[in-house]
Amino acid sequence: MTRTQLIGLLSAIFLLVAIYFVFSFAEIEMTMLEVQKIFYFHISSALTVFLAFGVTFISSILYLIKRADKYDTIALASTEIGIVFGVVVFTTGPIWARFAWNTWWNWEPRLTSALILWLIYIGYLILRSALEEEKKRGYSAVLGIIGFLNVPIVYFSVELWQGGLHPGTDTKMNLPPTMQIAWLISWFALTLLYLFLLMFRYHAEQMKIELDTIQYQQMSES
Amino acid sequence: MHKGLWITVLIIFGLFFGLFLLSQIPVAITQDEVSTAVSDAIAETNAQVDEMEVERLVAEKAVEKLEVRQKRRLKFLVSAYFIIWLIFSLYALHLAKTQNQLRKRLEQLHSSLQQKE
Repeated sequence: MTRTQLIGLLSAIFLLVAIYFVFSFAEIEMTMLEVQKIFYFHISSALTVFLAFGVTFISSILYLIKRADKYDTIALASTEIGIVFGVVVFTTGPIWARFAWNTWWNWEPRLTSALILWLIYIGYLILRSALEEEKKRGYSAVLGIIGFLNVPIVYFSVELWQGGLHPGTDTKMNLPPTMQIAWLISWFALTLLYLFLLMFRYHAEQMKIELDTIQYQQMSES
Repeated sequence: MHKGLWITVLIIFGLFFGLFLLSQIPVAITQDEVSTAVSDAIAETNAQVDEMEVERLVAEKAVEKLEVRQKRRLKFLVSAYFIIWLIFSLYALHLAKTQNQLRKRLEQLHSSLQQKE
């Protein structure tokens, strides 16, 4: 069994454990009742988005320092997966919002800044596919670094701008113990899933690079 | 520009437009609507008989309403978790498919190179 397969298996097991803890172990919150259970995967996905863009940020810095292609590949893979987790956040969020706040979307600080962050990294992928091979790595590394500056803004937006719908950043720490355990397990399971997808995506990109190199060699020979 | 890029840009604009429209639609329940719903519920119980009967019918109606609310809550919960798994599954399948295609292409290239040598 390869390392990627092992991480994949572990993430599948922990996702099942997380589901059990969310639905059978964590107590039911008295205001939102069953709908509150969306929280566990919604918040965990949002934190995984921050982790993914953090990996992009570090890999981009390393690429600019060392100019090694593997850091660029990690940054690309992590960005793509961060966007996928972002899609989860932006679909489960409105479902929660419709029930809790009676609206699908509100241009409040947390939502607006999170949407901007997500769009910056969509821009990162667009930039990569629009530029030539030599330029795209350097330019996208710069965008990967600049884009990450928005992460603390998103996280602390509820404290920076008052009057939003989202609760404060300390809410997660004030949960009852059963809810806190369920949330931590969900977060760990999604972090493992992120790691598995990152390794999987990295291998695919490495294969693509190898394929492109062979094809380029063949073309230059003929 | 690449065809896929145009589609991405269109999706982003569509998303913005959709979010804008959604934020404009008023969805709040008014006081009048609540009053009407309560009056309807009382009227539907036909509460003109004896007190026991009234109590039973009102309790039945209350249970019915609580069940409706719970069904609504479950609908939200199931939709959210269905979407979560759908997104992750689709992405993992897409990755697996891409990797398989790349592996096959690489194997083909390696074997053709060996034949040449």
